[in-house]
Order: sequence, then structure tokens, then C-alpha cells
Amino acid sequence: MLAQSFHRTIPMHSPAWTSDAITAKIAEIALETFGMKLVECDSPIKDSGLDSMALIDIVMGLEEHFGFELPLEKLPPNPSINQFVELVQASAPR
Amino acid sequence: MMPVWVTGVGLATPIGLSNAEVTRSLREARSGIRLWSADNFAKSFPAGIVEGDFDAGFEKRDLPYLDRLTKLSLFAVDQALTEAHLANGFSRFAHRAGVFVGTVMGGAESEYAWLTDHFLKGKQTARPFPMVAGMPNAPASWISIRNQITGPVLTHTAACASSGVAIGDAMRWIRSGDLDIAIAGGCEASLVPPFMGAWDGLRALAKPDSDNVERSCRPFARDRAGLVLSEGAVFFVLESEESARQRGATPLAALSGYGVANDAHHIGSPHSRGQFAAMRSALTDAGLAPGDLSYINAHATATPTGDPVEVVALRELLGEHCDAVPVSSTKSLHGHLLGAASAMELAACLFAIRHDFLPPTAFLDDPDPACALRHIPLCAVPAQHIRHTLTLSAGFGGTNAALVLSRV
Repeated sequence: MLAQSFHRTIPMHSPAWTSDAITAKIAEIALETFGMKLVECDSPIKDSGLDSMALIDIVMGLEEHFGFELPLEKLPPNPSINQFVELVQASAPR
Repeated sequence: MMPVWVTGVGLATPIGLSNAEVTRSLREARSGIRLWSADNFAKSFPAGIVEGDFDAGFEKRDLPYLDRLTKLSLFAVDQALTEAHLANGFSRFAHRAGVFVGTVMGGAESEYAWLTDHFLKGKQTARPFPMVAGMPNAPASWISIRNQITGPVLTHTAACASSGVAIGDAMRWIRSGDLDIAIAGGCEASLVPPFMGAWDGLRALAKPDSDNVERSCRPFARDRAGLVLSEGAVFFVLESEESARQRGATPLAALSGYGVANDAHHIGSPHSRGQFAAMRSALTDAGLAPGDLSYINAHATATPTGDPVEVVALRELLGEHCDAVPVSSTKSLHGHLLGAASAMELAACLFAIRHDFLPPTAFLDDPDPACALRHIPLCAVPAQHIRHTLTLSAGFGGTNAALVLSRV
């Protein structure tokens, strides 16, 4: 058994897909892993001091939580939390 | 030849986390060997474990990038820079400052954690950190980043001679006039189950001493039972005399000789010819004769076959001075720091010079007749005017590195 571990699929009617819940999840990952409190949803996350590798880690945390791979090519180069939220909602498997 | 001075030293070792603690352990023969064990691993081994909180002093956002190896290294480097009065950074040296680091395994904990995720949890893609945290040159790079050192930032790996080669290389860069200053030393933090198991496969590890685990490493002893693996980081500030004088730094000692030679014999068994050649070369480099040495810190890991091979090399080197020059293996106290071994043992030479004592081979109640040398058994010996010391490290693959450290 060596399949990639995207095994947890959250039902589409779950409150986990709301903007607030996704925002909270991003903030939770940033706090747990990097000790960073993200408060500005519209500014680039990098402005808070997280680097590009930290952003990748946030992406991986979201992928693991939601159970699908995020299309990173659709993410702007210097994304905000809100842009992450939009990407998660737009690319969730239907 | 341009003298190279040692102007700072920093340590994170099983026998202490500072210059003063390590000196006291060497002087009082305090062993840092404890029992190592791990979940899901049936055997336990004696090991030199560095105890302390090494996350302090780092921002949490940096911690995912820092393997234990790097944390120990930065802890030791900070000490060395404080002693050398370099806490304000290296900007004045521009590209004429370098970093030279020896390590055997690199960031073993990061690699182990990722492999555990891969094999046991089925993960196909790592988080972003294992790659950059685990690479062997990560400690050198972090030392450079934290201190803005923009000259050569190099990592040497030559098994147990790794830090000897790194320190020797730094010395040559300074001597040649290409650098004014360098941070040089070694680090190892590989006490993880697969690595311990791999070493166990060589049948080279000592078992825990049945009476007292602290006595498990007994170099040169008739009942020596194998080596004891350790972790740690030891770094020096090396500097041209001119640079040190210009900024008013105090020399702790002079690094006066370096020799490196290979056995060209066997991938995992030493030969005395390479060890002799390295030591001979270091003495020639320092302009010294064997009889000039006040003390030798031997490689002696306490394996049944390795120690007598080194004794042959030492006896050949010392010749008629064999009964006069004291020799010890401080691995009896701190174990084998692998990538930091040469640096650890150079530090023992430094403290011997600075504090007028000969560090002992602890637990040498009964020397093996096949290891006849002028031992310093059991306890440290007061010794005034230690002028020149030599330390030898012999690595798998046959690389031998010898360093001569002299009183200034």
C-alpha cells in the first residue's frame, strides 16, 4: 500500500467548505507549524513573514485536509488567504 | 608561514554545553555516556546524547527547516562567536570569511522522519522541509545565513575524519591568504534507529556495561568492547594572526599543523600506514619533531581490532619518544562524535593547553599489552607548559586527518 494519502473526502454539504472554515484552517496550519497568526485575509500571506516553502506547506496541509490536489497553476504568485479560499472552493471535486 | 589562531570555541556535546563544562568533564573524568533506546527497537545501546533545549533561540517559523544537526551547530557557533567577540557579525570581512563543516550523516532525523512517513504512512510527497533540512550542507548554510558569511561555505564528509578535514581545509584557506577568518568544526546528530541498526550490523558497537553504562567505552583496555556512538557539534573560530591582532582578539592557541593521508587499504578496516602518514605530515607541516609533542589525543574508538592498529602507527611516529609522549583517548568520556569527532578532540587539546592538564583515557584500569603507550589512565594529570598537541582521526574509507595545536 503506497498510494498517496488523499483519502479523506469531505462531503460537499459540509460546513468545512465555507469561506470562514477554510480561512480558519489556513490560520490553524500557519499557527501550528510556524507559530504565525495570520489576520489579514486580503494581503499577501508572505507579508506576514512566511516564505514560499511555508506557502507550499500550507497548500499541502489543505490538500491533506480536503483530500484533493490543488491546481497551484491557478494560484497567483503572491496569494492572500482569500485567494487560497477561492482556489479551494473553485477546484473542489464535484 | 602565516600563523592561524584559534580565537573562539563553542560546544554542544555529551560532556557539556560550554567551554567550562567540557573542561570540567575532561578534568574530572565525568562520562557523558548514557543508555540510548527507541520505540519499536529491541536493543538498547550506550550513547553520548546531548541534553538540552535547542529549540530556544529560534523563531517557530524557522524550526521546520532546522534539523537537530543544525540546531546543535548553531548553538555551538554562537558560543564560539561570543568568545571571539564576533557577535556583531562578519560584514567587515566580506568574502574573506568562510565556513567549513564536517559531518557524516547530515540531517539524519529529518531523513528518518520522512522515510517513516513514506514507508509506514504511504506518503508519496514530502512536506517542503525534509529536503532542505536534511541535506548535509544545511548546517554550513545556516551558519552562513545567520552570520552573513559570504566566502566559501563548504561541507566535508570523510567519515570519522570529516571535521578534521574541514578544520584543516579552513586552515589552508587562511594560510594561503585567501581568507582572513573561518568558522570550522563538525557536527553529528544521527542517533536514530536505522543508523544505530546499521552500525550494529558492523558488530562494532559496545554493549551497555553491565555495572555502569557510563563505563561502556574503554579504549586501549584489555576488555574494550567496541565503540560508543555520540552526537554533538564543536566549532572553532580560526583566524589569521594579522586579522586577530587588528581587531584585538585574544588567541586561545595556534593551529600549527595539518596532515591528511589515506590508507588505500579497505573500506571498513584501518591500516597504520595511512594514520602514520597523516600524523607525520601534520608534524612536518608544523615544523615539529615527534619529541616536541606534549600530548596526543588518539582516535582510539575502543574496537578490539582498531586500537592496536593505531598503536602501531603511534609507536612508529614517536619512535624513541614513545615512552615519553602521553597519549589518551577521550572517547572514553564523550564517545565517538563521528562528523564532530576531530573537532571534539581538538577541543580536548585546546583545553589541555589552556588549563594545564592532560585529559585521561577513563576506565583504563587494565591496559591491553597490545596497546602499549604512555597512557594517561583513569584520571587527568596536571601538566604545566603543554606546548604542542596532536589529534588523529581515522575514518572508514581510509581517510586519516591529523591536526597539531600549539600554545601561543
